[in-house]
Amino acid sequence: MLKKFLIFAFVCMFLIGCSSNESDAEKTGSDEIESFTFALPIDTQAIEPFNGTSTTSATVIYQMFNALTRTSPEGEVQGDLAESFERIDELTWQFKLRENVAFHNGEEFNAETVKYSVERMLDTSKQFGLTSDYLFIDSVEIVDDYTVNIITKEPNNGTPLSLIYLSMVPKEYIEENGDEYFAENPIGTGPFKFQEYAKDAHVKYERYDDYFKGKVNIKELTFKPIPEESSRIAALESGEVDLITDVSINQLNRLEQAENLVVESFPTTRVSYIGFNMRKDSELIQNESFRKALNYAVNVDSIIENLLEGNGETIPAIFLSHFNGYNSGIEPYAYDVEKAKELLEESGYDGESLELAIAANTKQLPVVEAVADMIREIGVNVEVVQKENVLMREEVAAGTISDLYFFNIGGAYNSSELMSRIGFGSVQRYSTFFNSEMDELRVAANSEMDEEKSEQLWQDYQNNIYDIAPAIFLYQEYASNVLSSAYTNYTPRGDELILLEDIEKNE
Amino acid sequence: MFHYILKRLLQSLIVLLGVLVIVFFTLRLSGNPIDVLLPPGASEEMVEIYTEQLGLDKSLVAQFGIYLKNIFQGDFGTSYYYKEAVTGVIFERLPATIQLTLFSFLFTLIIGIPAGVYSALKSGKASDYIVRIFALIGQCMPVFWAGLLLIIVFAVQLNLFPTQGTGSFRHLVLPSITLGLYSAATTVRLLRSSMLEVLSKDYIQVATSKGLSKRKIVWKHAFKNAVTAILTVLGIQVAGLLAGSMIVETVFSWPGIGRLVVQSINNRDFAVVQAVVILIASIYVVINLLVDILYSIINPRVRLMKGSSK
Amino acid sequence: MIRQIVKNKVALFSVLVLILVVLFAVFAEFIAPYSPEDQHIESKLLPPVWDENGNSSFILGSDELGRDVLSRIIHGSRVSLIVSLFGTLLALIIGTVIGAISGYYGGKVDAILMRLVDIVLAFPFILLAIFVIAITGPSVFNIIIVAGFATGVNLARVIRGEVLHVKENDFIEATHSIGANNFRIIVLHILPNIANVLIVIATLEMANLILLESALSFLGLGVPAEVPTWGKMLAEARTLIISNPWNAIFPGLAITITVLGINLFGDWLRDYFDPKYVEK
Repeated sequence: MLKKFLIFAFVCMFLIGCSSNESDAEKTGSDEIESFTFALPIDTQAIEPFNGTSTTSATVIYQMFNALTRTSPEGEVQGDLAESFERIDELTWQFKLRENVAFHNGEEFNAETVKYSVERMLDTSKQFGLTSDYLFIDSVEIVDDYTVNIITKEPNNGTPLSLIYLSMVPKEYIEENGDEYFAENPIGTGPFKFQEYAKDAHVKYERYDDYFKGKVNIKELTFKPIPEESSRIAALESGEVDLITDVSINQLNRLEQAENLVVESFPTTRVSYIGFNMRKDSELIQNESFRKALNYAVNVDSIIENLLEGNGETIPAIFLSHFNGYNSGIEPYAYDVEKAKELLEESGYDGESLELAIAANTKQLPVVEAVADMIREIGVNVEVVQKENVLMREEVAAGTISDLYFFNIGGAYNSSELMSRIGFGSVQRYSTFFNSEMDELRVAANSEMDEEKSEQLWQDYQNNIYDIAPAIFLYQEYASNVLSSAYTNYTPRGDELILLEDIEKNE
Repeated sequence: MFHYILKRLLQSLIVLLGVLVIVFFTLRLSGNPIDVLLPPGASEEMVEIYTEQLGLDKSLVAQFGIYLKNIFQGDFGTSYYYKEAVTGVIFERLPATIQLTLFSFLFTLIIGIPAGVYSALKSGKASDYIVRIFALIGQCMPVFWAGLLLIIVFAVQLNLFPTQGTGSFRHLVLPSITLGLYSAATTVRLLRSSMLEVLSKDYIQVATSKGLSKRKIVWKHAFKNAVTAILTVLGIQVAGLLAGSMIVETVFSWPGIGRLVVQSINNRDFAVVQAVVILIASIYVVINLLVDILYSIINPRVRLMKGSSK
Repeated sequence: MIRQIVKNKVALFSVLVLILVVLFAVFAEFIAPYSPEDQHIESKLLPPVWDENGNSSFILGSDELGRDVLSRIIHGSRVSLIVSLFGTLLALIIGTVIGAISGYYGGKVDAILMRLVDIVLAFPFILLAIFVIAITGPSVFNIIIVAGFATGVNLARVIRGEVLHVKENDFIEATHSIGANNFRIIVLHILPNIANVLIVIATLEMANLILLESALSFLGLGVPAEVPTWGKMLAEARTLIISNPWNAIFPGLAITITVLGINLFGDWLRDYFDPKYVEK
């Protein structure tokens, strides 16, 4: 009896497993891709375009919406719903809009839409997540049906870049149905129409045939959040999803050898560094020789070659090659143990033990452990501590963080201005380097209308920050996307957004 | 009986209030949601506006007062992160967790009971040892490790089940097994030892000597023991409910409460964490009350008033 | 007792496992071939020596930073043992004090203590651990405190039940009537009577605490970064479980075998003290 029951139970479980082993829906002969699924580690915060502050949210929203501008995969700012843009005076940027663009419900896109969208974003009472990014805007003027002026409070060279996340939203639709309805039934101008959102499970889209850049190949698109990396890889390998991101470097070799997969590794806009807590009342940390000694002690090349397997790029200080001011002709700090020890002696280091903090569950932990090991090589006592993410940020903001802390700054807006302001500006929450001269230089460079002069100012900034060395400069991070080889013509983007407009079937 | 239940329910209210106090204050000591909500470049001014809008500028005690008052009006607050009512955020994810928990319990019963009885009957034989070793290993494996091993073997290598997600019955199998592994193993061990105890009792020996078949006796007594064991395991499973689902839901991308809570802690989404903790504590309190009552029905010798044995 | 252990193969196995783990922990420096923190990033992620790509200097292979897995497992036994041993000790102290007082005095004291215990039990333990460790920072000491406290409260109920049981015995009442004070009665008469149960529970709790440390590491709240522990090695290797399975299998085995050893030993102890004792 018992044995029979056990056998029965096992057979049941086995049958459940085998019964509905449906294969991928057969694909038609044309270029159309019936369905496509991509998986990222976290869920979107919202499908209301003004509430998505994370890169993942931006990816989910970008499938349905467009903004006035958009960056190319390499990070160059281009027009999107704006055909062209120019700066007409210190504070005013003029945008010429595309004509014949319609929202998914047929509503027309025009200057009114732009004015409405910007003003909706600036309305602080609505508590949109992205609002604080746009408070530099003073007002919007309609010049004619397809021309608008955006006026900023201060001169700002970065205006077109900042606008990439200000999605254009349908005025009449929202006024008719209300913000709450829109937040659950979003309508945009993008390549996909919204279908369904099940939290932590999926977002489903279907193709919008009248997309102004021409209809895309994918008919049904699904986004899935899969938090565990091993589960994400398993889902890709078993064919449940077609594209995944955030794959650690140690997995790439194996995945590259798989016939049905394509690995794309690419440089991102993310700059990694180990900040010195210069707000700390420590003579040692305030000592320039000490800070330089540690820069000479760390073999970034070896870290990139061995730990990252080439998935990283050294940078002279904090600017990436496509940022303004990169071309200042300086070389990254070389790996030079002798020089490091010399400088260390000059600094009067007396065996004090230091802490190097990193947020818990950060994938760069091995890098930081390797850095700590290299610093110990020249005779500095340093211990790695992991801190809970939010508490770590609070400690950075309060200036009470460990002597050294790992940080990285990236994302779609990253630029010389953002990098130097957020990471190294005075009274910034994630900066521990308060230096008014450097602040003035930054503001001057960002508001200078003459491009050449602005470039020169940014180069000065880069040179100065290199000399002051408020951080151990590490590298530009790479990211990887792994795609099923059934598809081609996918371009990964430096800002780590996933855009699938050009993807094609692999013949 | 009625008096007893009423008294236990009143006690439960005190317990829930205590839980609420602890979660409310420890959460606020453990960090501020502003850092998560605002982009890194946000100005001090914006930080102030947000702090005021979220009511975080008031004293902790005042915040607690407001929160309590709202709870009594049925308002559990608004999620900072999702910007919608907490009750909605939770109820959207609750069915997934309930499904998972029920199926893992089912797995516990299907595997645990037959294996436990079998092991007791074959006590001392090789097959008893095999079952016991498996049960012990089930209890000794870290949950996330077991889950990942199952994914690799049954989803990636054998392709029998999907690796993650929800949607069909097949999706339920691996996460349910992972979540139920520990309780199944516990059931086997509990059932085996309580069966052995019964079998060694004098009256069973007498019954056997009277010529009643051992098998019949076992089945008669197995039932009662099985129910007791299940009740005990149920109590244990409820206590570990959240911990288990936090890990299993993360490994299998299951859209339930466990994952919500992990994310909400990372985001310092106070209202969500508070509500989940209250929910879990209530479930714990209610299930344990039920378990105690059922115990006393099955086993009248257990006196309810004498405090509860778990 | 020793003769009993040797006679019973399962008990012998469990005791040998435990002795081995304790030896690892105490003499880690002498047994381990390398320091657990020595990095060799040029030879990272090597498979164990019996694999064709293995390297004889890394017997169980190397991890992401080229640290010797064998050395890390040997040193890792230290934290796992310290956490489980001291955590259990703390739990026993807390559990016995609360349980004994509550069970012995009864009445209002009992009611108040048991409500406090209920509050802690109804609070999802994993969250309590996360909050406390997030606030106080990850350290071995903090993990011991949190784990010991929560398990101790759990034990309090069991011990209270046992105390109630013993208290009903006639000899306690007799002792009371001849004028012995309460403290004396609890320490001299009640505790020895529940010692067997305590020892059995303690071994089982030790096993649970090793698992708890690995669960906390999975959630990123384990001990400080560079201290090797089994739980952390396992949690860190989980992304490697497909490509470099050995990295996840060895610490996983270390945990499973040790927990198995402790559990088997606990089971055996229970049978030894009282063959009829029913599992709690």
